Amino acid sequence: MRKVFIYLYFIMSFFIFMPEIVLANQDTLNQEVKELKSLIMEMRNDYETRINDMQMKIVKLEEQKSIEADEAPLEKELELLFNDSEEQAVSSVPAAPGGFTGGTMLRNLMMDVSVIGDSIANVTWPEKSIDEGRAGSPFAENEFADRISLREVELGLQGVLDPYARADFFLTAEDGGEISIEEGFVTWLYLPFGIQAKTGIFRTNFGKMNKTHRPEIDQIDYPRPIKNFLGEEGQKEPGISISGLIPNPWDIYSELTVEILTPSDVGVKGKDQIYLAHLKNFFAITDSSSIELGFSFQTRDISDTVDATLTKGNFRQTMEGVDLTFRWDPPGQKLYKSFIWQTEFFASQREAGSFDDDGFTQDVKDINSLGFYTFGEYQLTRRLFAGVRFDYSQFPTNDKDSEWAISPYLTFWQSEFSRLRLEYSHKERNSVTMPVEEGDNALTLQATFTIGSHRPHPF
Amino acid sequence: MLKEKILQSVTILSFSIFLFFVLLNTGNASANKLNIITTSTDLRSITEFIGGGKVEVESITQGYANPHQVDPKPSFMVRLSKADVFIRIGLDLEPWALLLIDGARNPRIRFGEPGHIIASVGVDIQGPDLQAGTMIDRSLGDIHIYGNPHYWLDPLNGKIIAQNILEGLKRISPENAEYFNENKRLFDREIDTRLSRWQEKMKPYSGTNIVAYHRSWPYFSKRFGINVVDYVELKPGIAPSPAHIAALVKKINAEGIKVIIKEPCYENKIPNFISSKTGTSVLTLPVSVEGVKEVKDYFDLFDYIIDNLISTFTKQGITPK
Repeated sequence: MRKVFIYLYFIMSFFIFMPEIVLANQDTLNQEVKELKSLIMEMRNDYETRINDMQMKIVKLEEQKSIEADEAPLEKELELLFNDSEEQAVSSVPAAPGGFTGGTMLRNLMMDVSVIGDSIANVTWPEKSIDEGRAGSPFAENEFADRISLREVELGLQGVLDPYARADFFLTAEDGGEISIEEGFVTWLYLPFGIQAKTGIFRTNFGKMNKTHRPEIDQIDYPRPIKNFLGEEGQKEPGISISGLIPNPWDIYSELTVEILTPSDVGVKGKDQIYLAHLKNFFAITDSSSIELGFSFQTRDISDTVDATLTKGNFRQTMEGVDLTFRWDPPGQKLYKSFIWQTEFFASQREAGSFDDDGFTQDVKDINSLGFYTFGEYQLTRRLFAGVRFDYSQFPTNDKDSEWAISPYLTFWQSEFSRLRLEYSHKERNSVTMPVEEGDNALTLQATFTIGSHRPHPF
Repeated sequence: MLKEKILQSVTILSFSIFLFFVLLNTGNASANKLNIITTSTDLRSITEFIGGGKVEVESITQGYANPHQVDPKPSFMVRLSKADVFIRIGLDLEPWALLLIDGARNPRIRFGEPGHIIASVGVDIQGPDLQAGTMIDRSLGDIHIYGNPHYWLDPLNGKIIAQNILEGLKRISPENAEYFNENKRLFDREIDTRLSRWQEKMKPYSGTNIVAYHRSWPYFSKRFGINVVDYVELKPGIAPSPAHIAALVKKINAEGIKVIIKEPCYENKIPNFISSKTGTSVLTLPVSVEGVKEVKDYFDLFDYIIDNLISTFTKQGITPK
């Protein structure tokens, strides 16, 4: 019974104190609900802000997309414009800077600067040629005979002008004399259709050796036919040169060059230009051997030159040339073994005549003259080369007289930058117009040296 | 007059033929693969790894040739005239390449264009210490002013070369970027795997002194821990003199050097003479892919060099450490 009262007491107490407990908990709950509500509001505001931002971004992106869509045709048009083959050469490079930047370029040495010295010591026998200085003699004087001289100094300045062109200058001084321009030209490298053009003063593209400067040829001096047909130091003239590769199914290198040149003869008028064409073909037979075959042609009106043999109008001189070069240099042994054989033929047809006392033309004739040289050079060791050259030549103004020469030589390359050469030369002259005596001999020692950076020479 | 007419006709005919061929050349032959020309067989090999089936690669030089001395043959110009990409070693190793590029008349591959890739970008170059104020002139021989260019003989530089090639290929052919990326990843993985093997093999010979013919080996020797103590050449690119060879024989005997290494492009006579006076072994090692017939790719190159070095060391009684 007592237990029943105890249970009843607890039950009644529960119901008596329950409301107070509930009310007390109710306050806490209300507080928590308020906090929760505040938190939710805060979160809602936060999310609303974020959603608004995102919506703004979406709107902006859509606008951007719309702009891009509008610009797409323009981009395509620009792409088409710059893909046009004729504009290919300038399409993918930045615009050339405005203003002249030569000073900065020079300061930074953004070009190759080199100096080549060419010194010779020469003895001849018998005494200097009897033909020298004789009036009317076609035979040239060897101005460097029996002396030691710094025959030539050549300063080379070569560099890139801009993304489209390069420039090459070679200044030369002979025997300590005045400085003259050996070459000075600009070359546009990437014209449409793979065409290149150059203008300035340059060695003409007639034959093979004429393009090489004298200190850099394989013998001490140019062959007689080059001296007689193209000039004592070869042919260099101011003009324009345009060249292109001729495509062919065999992938043979075939380059056609056409040149218009103003001859440097005294008295030449505007109409008397030299028109020149050269076709160069290169055949790689194996990795070690190759053949180069070239054909040259030039023609000019010579009526207005001061040449005393010309007295009637429209006299013309035409020259043809064929050059053939065989090279053998096995790539794995290139330092030690090589062989080159090079030959050039020259032919000249020159119209000539004179007036008699009454003003009528007389002795009108064509002078058809020929010349050729051939040389072979074999590499004996890494630094020693031996060769021999044979020259034969008539004269453009005289096809009755001729001369020939044979020149064995040894070349020692001390390094890539200095070279010694010893050459013996025996020359004979045949003349129907004047008496000539025995042939003459020359022994010449040449020292050639380079400082600075010199662009490699074309093959 | 007749002669003038003939000349006129010949001139007109020549120009007509020329223009015909020029116009014929305006359409480039379309090819699915990128046409790539490299200056070396090593660059060709790495490019083939990265480019895979999307490229056709040709090298101008042979692996056994001297890369310093290459004639700029016009036949190379014809090949370059059709190239989409030109890849070169750089660092003044290929001055002849400039003539080829000019002669090729191909604006896609000229310097500064996306199709002109220089593989040396980013390589830690060894060579003249310009910053230290060392005087540099040609009394030092035919040196390269920008540093030693034989950097491909460190396999880790191979990864940098591959990266330069990858970036170049992606510029030219972005649609194949993923394909090139994957090939580069595989190339790097192969280099890493093989490098640890190569280093493991060479580790016992670390510090071994040898003599080399030319300064082709600074990158290789640094990576694999061998010492090139002298050279057969007097100076880079300068042929040995009798006095230099006499001094070298003395040095080899004094220091107990057992091995002379030389590149295939150099002569055997002088190294064999030194060998006869000192008992050293003369080992001809390729410095490029296809330098010898067994070396067909960039990985073979290191396999061959390391295997032959170790067998020569063993033959000479150099014991592993």
